[in-house]
Amino acid sequence: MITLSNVGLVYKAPEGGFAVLERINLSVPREKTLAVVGVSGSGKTSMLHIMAGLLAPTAGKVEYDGVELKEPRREIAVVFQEYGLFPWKTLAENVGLPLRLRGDKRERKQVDVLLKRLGIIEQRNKYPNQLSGGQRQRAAVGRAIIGGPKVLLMDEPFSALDPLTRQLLRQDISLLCTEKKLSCVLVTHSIEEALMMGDQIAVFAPGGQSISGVLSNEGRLDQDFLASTEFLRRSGQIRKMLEGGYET
Amino acid sequence: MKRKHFDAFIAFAALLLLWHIASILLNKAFLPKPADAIWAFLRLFIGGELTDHILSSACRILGGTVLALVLAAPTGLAMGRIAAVDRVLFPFISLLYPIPKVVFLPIIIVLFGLGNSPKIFLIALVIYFQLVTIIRDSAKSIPDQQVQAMRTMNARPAQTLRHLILPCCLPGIFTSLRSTLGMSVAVLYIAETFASFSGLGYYISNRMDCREYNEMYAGIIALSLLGGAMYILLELIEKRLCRWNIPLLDK
Repeated sequence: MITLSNVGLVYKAPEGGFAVLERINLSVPREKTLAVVGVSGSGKTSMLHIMAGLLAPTAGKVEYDGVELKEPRREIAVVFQEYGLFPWKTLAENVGLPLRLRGDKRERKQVDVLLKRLGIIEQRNKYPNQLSGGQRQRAAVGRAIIGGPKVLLMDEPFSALDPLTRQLLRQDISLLCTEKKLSCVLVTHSIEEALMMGDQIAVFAPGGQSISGVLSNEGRLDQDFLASTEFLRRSGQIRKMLEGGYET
Repeated sequence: MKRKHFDAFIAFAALLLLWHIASILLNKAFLPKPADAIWAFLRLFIGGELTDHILSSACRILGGTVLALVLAAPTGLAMGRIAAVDRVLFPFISLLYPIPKVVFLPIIIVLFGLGNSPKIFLIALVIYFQLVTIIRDSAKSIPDQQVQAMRTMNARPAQTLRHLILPCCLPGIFTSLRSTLGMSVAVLYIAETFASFSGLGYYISNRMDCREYNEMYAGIIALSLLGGAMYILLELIEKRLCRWNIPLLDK
């Protein structure tokens, strides 16, 4: 699986470099979900891009199954924050694109099976601008998993959705990840989301750049969990880790 | 009748009315009544006198536009997606863009002779710079997430060009083609009045020299209709190739 060892990232700027990530040590648990929580601008998305092979770290190394990750691999798929769908392709064309690029002849059949599973088969010939946010998100997940990846990286996948759709999608995607035996990384700024979906929760340190701790968790998607004292205790613990450095 | 068509009809009728009033107020031979000009146009068009001129002009506009597009597309795409190419070419494009290319017409005629080539080349030269600038900007503005999505799918450069860059730039290319169409017609007119024996520009200036104003206006109507027909053709091609943009185009 993906392992980050002492990973650092410094962006070059005219007034000198500025550190986005420092000494990140993390590993993605096999067939489990790692939720990464941090405030906006803490470097979560940059870390996800490093895990995807889209961005090269300036320090440390990233490995996938013991091999250094230098570029994107077929085994690692990404769901982007704003979906990253192509407006000029229909939903079916968007979802089937990874297979088409590989020259897979069974594209249409596989796309229809997956669209049925995702509950968006009726929209197969619609363009992204004719779909709701939830349908677009399902399409983005479909495109990510159609090629049979081992790891699914998700960057704030539910942030633009209404609460009801968000809740439905959390359940559907969790179920899908279990069915497909995917190892998942969920980057989010929502403590609630991390607690509901994560088997492990990595918390960014106050001010970002480094991870202050990784907690074990048992993700529970039922609404009762949100009202439980266990939820309050754990979310308080994460909030403290996020705010730790600030003294008021 | 659709609202859009009704609005166009009202605008056309208003224009004819203004023209009619102006011709009565001026009462000069060089501004005939619209009915006379339209009648002359119908007579010449049905009689076939305008056909060769319309065809010559249409071929020149199409030829110039296609030549400009064929040259501008690779340059603009390369400038938009490859920083090193942009660094080298952008200063040249910026310097050459504002120069009025029509002034080079005598030199172009010396270089290419008197046939269709100098007219096609001049139209291409005039619209090339606008096309290249728009294609470059469209290629530059492709959202990072879409580029990254292609990378995560291990797309080869040719696949990225086909599935991402070209379709993303298409609406910009069509907008640019539509906006340069008026410019192409104007340049065509100038090119055809200079050492030319065919085309609507030649016909209009020739009739003006002969003081045959009804026929001159018939030529102007033909040139306007040619521009309008090409505009509609571009819109139809755009609707076919950019189907995902149709709701936006129709708004």
